[in-house]
Amino acid sequence: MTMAARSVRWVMRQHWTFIAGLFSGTVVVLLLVAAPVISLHDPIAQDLSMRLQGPGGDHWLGNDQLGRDLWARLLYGGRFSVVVAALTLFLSVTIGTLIGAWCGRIGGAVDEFVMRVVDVLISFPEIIVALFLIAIIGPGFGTLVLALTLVGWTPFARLARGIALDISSRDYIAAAEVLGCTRTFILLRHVIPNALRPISAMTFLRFGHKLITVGALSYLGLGVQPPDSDWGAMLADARQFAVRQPLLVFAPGIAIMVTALSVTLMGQGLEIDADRSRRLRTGQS
Amino acid sequence: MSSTASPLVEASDLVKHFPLRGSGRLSVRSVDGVTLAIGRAEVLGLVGESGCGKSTLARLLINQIRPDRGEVIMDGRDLLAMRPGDLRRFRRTVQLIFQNPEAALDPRMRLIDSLMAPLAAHHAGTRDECLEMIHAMLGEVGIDPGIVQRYPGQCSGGQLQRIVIARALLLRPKFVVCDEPTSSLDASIRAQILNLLNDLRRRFDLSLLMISHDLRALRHICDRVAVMYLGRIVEMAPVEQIFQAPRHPYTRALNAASLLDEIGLDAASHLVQGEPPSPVHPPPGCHFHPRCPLADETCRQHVPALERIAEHHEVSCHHWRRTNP
Amino acid sequence: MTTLDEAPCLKVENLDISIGDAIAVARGINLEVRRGETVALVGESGSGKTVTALSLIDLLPPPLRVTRGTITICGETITEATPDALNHVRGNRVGMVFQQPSSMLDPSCRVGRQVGEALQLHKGASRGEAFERAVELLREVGIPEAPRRARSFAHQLSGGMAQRVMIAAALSSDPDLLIADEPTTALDVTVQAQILGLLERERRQRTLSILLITHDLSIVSAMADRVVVMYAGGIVEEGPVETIMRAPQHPYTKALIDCSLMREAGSGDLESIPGTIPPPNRSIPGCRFHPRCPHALARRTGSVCASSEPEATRTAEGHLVHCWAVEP
Repeated sequence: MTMAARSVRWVMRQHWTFIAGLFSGTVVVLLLVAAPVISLHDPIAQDLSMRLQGPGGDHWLGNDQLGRDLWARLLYGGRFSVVVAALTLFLSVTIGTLIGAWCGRIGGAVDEFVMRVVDVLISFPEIIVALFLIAIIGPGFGTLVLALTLVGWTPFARLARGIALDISSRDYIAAAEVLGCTRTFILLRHVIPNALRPISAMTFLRFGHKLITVGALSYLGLGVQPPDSDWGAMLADARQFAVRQPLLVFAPGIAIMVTALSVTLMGQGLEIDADRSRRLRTGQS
Repeated sequence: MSSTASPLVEASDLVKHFPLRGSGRLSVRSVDGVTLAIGRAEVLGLVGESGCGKSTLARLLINQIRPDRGEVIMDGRDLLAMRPGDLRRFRRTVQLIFQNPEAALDPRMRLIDSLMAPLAAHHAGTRDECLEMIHAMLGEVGIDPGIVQRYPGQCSGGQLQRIVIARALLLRPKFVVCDEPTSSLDASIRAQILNLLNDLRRRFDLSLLMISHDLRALRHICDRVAVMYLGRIVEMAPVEQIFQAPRHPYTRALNAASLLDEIGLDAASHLVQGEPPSPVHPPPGCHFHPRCPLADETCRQHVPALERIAEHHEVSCHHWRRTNP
Repeated sequence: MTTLDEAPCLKVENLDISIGDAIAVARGINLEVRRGETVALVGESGSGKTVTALSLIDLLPPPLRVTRGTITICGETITEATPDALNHVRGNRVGMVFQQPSSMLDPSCRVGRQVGEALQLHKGASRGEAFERAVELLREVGIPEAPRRARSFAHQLSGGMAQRVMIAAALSSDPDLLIADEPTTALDVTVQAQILGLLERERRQRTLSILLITHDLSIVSAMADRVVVMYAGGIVEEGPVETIMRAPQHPYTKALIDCSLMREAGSGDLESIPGTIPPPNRSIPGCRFHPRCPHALARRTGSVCASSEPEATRTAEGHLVHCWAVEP
């Protein structure tokens, strides 16, 4: 075996969860990005003559109850689901990390107040908050992102605060204070970089959860509006036809599962890695 | 020793109690009325066991925490009355060197960035000027400039402690507190670092507060030594006095414990009984009386004052006349 | 104190310990502890002293493992023993005292039960008998109000008390050999002398053999009968304590004693050893100490010090030095 092959095998063995997740995740993203190129049909073009057809011809996965191409709808629908999940997650992480780390550093009454707000928000299921907002400002892309972010930042704030408290007790923070570094410098250069790894692991783990929530809201008809569609809405539409054409249910279901799983695997890989390097640092084997 | 000029740091009657969470009015009496002065270019050793309040005292002196009572005068200025802006400028003049150098450096920052941070925080110059200052300082502490591109995890403890010392000295402080700077290092490296500190203090005219639990580590570098027990200073004297003619029974016990090879196990284990009591419930009277071979009724009831028994030699013991050196 | 004709309590021959198969952390260790004798295993971090001690009772955390050599405790070769036989040796022949007593005691279990545990497991004592015996042991190691203390939990004890409890637990099975790994490093200096005094008293009363692992040479000179000095995974010198402390032969031993006791050099500085301790994954050809060695021979390029590892040289009865510059 050559050196290269051996080191590839070593990397595979050490990080197989991350690599597996990265591989399938990349495939999903590439498919979604390349949707206009690889789908031969318009996702909203109806052809009632092809109603509930099974796979065959240039309709690779067959057609739905209105004769639309399932493969095309899967690709275009996925774009919506994944973008909403990714965008809300990005906003949640940014807001949550900044607020949490800041609270952890300053402490006192502000910290106490913000954390009680977090406790209140965290006790509401995301779906309830989303339903409430949709009832007020109507469904749509913006509402969905807003609703999911409103609750979504809280777990990150809690995590970031915990890490900030832990890091604050380290000597290198005391050193930075004694050396006269400003609060902002300490927060941005010491606290957040050291918090990044556990937070990114949690981000990956939460992604699957977000994807499923987006799906659930669309399933309830509160997400994307027809004729556009996403995986949740496709599942809902296919409900009555599940017996006649099971693929209509399986295809979006499997798409959600594969995407959520691959991102979760990446997150788990990161977490294992963080754990391993921590143990190496502290000298335990 | 420089008793003629006014001292650089003067602390009087410092008190710091940390309230115990969830236990009503109980508190850890960490520093309980400490008065001391450190002269310009003087090295004062501070020795005591864990929990005696020596690290708290150090952090009070550099204004990292605020005392409940008492005052700290540094270079003629009252530290506790300073405004935040002045305080940040003041930070340049006092520095802290830590016990564990690996913990004192951010594991995710290259050493060069850790060295650069304080200079940037105080706007010490352009990047090139800062780099030049850093290189000059690395030469002073005996570090090959090549390693500053590394992360802390890639260096040995001795190298990291040199980096930490360089970082502290970059701001040209007058007063440096060394909190057990060598206790996490191996013997062969410990001697290197102590020699380095001794050398630097002469070249930079530094006042040092050297904290240690091991008297032996103080013998070589200190001018004077203060012995602390349960929040109070029990003896303060020039270093030769502490080693050759200690008067407080606790100093004698510490001395014997640090010099086991010279004194022998039997002698050392009879000088003191039991263990340090909790600083939450310090014993009444002289804090040391439950462990002291000389204790009598007076010790149990009355707190001994810090008495001047010779020039530069203070001791807080009712029976110091009986402890013949 | 020591009778030479008796079989040694602990005998280690040609022991190698490695991380996996690749990195050797201890090589060619030969060690002997006779009955009633205290042997100090001295070295700085990375010297391999702690892994050597752990290997003696098969406690090496993987991936560390013994790759060569034999360990014999009281006539039982434990490197070839079955798990049952090994357990028997551990339970009846060897006691172990660690550096951090508070983390070695189970926080949810009363101190008396923990001390008596070995008696229940290895000597077939009932729970009540074991507890009674534990109280006796606690009294023996100098714990005041032993019956009451036996009912307390580990976190209610101070560091010195917890270490006394650990010693009581180690002595409960009446072992022949006590392995003490830096037993006083975590304790306050004034408590240290008390704990060492206790170990010394127990050694005399029970004719116990003690293997004391430490980095502190002032403890060594106060406690040990013989000293074994390790550096970077190998033994550099061994001999009686008076010889080693007064007239060390190996340049490293000399320097370590000077550093550890903080002796001053002629220049007014403290004696120190230049350079750093090599990490275990760096292999050094020849004598492991030669890059830091002050001896002229090691400084000469292409000298024997840099090319081949020195064998043990016997300079006097029981005094072995691994150095090319030492004449037999």
